Amino acid sequence: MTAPTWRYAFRLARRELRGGLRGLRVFLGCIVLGVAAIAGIGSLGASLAAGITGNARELLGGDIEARLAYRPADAAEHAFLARSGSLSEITTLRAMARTPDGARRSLIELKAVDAAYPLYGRVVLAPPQALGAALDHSNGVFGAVVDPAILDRLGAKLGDTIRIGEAALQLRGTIVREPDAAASGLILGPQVMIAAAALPETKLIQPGALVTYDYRVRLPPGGNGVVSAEAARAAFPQAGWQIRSFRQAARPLQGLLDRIAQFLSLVGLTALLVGGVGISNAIRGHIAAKTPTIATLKCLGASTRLVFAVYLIEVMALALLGVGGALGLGALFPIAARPLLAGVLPVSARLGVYPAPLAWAALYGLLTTLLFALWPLAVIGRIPAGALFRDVVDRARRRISPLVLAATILLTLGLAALAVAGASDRGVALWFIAGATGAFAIFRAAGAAVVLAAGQLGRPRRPVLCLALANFHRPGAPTAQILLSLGIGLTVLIAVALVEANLSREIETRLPAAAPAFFFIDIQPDQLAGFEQIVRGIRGARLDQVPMMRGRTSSRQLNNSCLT
Amino acid sequence: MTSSLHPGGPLVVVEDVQLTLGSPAGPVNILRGISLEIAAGETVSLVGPSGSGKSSLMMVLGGLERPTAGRVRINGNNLGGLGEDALARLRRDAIGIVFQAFHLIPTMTALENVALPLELGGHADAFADAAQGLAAVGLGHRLSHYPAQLSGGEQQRVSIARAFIAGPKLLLADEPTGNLDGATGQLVIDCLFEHQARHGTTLLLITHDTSLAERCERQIRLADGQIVEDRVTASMRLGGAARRAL
Repeated sequence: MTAPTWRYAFRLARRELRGGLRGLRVFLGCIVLGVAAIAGIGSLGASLAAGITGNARELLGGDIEARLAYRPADAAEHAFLARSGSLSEITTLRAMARTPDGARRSLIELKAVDAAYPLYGRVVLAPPQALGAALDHSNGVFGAVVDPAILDRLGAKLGDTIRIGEAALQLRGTIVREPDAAASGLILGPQVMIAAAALPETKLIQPGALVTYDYRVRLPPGGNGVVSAEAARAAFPQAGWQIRSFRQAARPLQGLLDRIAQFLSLVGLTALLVGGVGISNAIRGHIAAKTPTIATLKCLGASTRLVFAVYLIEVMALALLGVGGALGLGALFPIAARPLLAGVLPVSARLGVYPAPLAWAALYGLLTTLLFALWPLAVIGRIPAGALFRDVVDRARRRISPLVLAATILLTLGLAALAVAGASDRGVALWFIAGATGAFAIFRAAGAAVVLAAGQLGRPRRPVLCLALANFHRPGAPTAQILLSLGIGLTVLIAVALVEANLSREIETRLPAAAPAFFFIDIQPDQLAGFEQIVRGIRGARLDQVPMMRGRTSSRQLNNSCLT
Repeated sequence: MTSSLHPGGPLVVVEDVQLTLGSPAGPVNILRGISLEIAAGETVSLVGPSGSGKSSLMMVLGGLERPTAGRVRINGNNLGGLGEDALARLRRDAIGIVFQAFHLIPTMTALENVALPLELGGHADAFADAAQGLAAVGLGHRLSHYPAQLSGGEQQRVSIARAFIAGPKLLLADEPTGNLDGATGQLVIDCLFEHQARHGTTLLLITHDTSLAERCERQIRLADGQIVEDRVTASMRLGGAARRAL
């Protein structure tokens, strides 16, 4: 078609749109729901990713972290790290906290921090106070801030004194928020934070003690964390330190969120594909209602291509309207979801408009609309101009033109490529595409088979049965479309239920038959008898106890043998 | 048969046209060997009982249905050799159609409906010409009205204006008064014949109304897919003034 013809097609489509949305509300609803789901999930994922990136330094506690086990950094290593930027030193070890009389005790995660801590973010305490002031040496004693659970375990209250090793420490506050909590790894006990200056008083740092030394560096503006980490490894190849940049620290959390976002995006895409059947049915109905107008246009001399273009433009204009509305809803979704995720994730979503996920969702929506609109629109070619003179049964053979078939294949491939390109796990996306294609093919074939079978059956004697049977295979009967819609819709429901059931079964079958219902640690030898007595008092309860101690190995002891 | 009033060559030539449609009960012969000629400017009524093949013959002449056998030439064009788009162009340029049910496009104003054939033909002054066309059928004050805002008679006059706007050689009218009351129908028919006379258009009119059929110069009667009568009407014999009075 020439440019003036396209312009005229646009003009005719605009006139057609004066008829309003009558009959196309379902069409719009399908697009809005599907695209809004994809756009919303994408926007939430992007806002969480932005939150992680924005808070990555807080999550790690610095731009880079050098972790040394069992030994502190030597003078040269310390000097190297200090040269890179502001340095903060954190020492962590497991210890026992106890009341001054020793009556109550608790395993704790002891964290000794220097004055520079935290390099990023802020420690929030209750009652509100500065961390430095809370840990300072005053009234002849160092302070400690603790996880609220400690107070219960030791039966203590703020202002009381507890003992850790040889040191006496005053409880001055509880920890409400610790910016680098997510980077702490496995914690076996509630946390107690003290000043680095208080650590020697505990006398817990002995040769062979299981102590971790974290050196965190805040680089000057413009400093590159990765380059510094490489430089540190190159400068001290024998140091044996683990070096992480803030990007690496955020990676596991980002990966988890990516996988969740991918799964939800595929669910959204499924919703859009199911909606595609609705789109197809709605357009088929719309074109059927427009038969007199289409036939009139043909009678007056409009070519089939022009009429096809008019209705394609009309459909795509409405699709753009629906996609626009859906993108608006999707962009607002993170605002609605943010409060719900506040207590679930260690980072909060960074609100904003993220064009990339919105563009993906728009592409999904437009491609799906085109894919599902193409065949119903192709009916325009089969509407004879003579339909205005008498009721014309569609006598044309229902053969799809090669152009429409080629366009359908291209659009399917485009949609599949989009799903794969946008997925973090391409294998999952490919399986999804195979499943969706298979389901569509099976239910479309099943629909055709039902129509064929109904036509082959004889005429029942009972008029009601005869009418019912005829409705399956009469010309224009929606049997195949209904079967496809119901089949795909139910397949999605069953798939979701099966995924849930399989996950549950996976967990159940992977658990050992005698997996413990509860796992208790930190039971002291003098507490064991009482604990056993409590457990044995419970009918059916079985107690297995394993003594546990932690130790360290050195290369001299291993003598080049392998540890298994 | 070509009327002696119209000495020019035939505009419509139909040679042994047959039309057979398939049905679940077997093939149905709709037209069975129709042959006729209609001269340029001639007015012809097509009469006959329901199911005699009138509408089918009109569809064949309008290039809306392809005959199973035989040949049709309109204005020198052999319809059998034309594809769908070429047939659409022929209808746009040479054939006007007036329907019993008007078939105006409901989302377009009267002006847009009338301008449509001109727009399809790429005419630059489509709307100006359409406004004149509507004024010529007495609807110059209804340009921006939608079909739903017009009476049946007005809709049919818009339809007539649309059919004549591109200056067709052949006008096909399928019971144009079938949906109208007597008085309104008379107005519409007057309008139709007035335009036909002014433009010298060949008119083929399907009707069940014998007085209306008599107003044409020639009457063809169909029965069971065949021409059973093809005669000059009384109006033709009476002459122009009496024909108009009739």
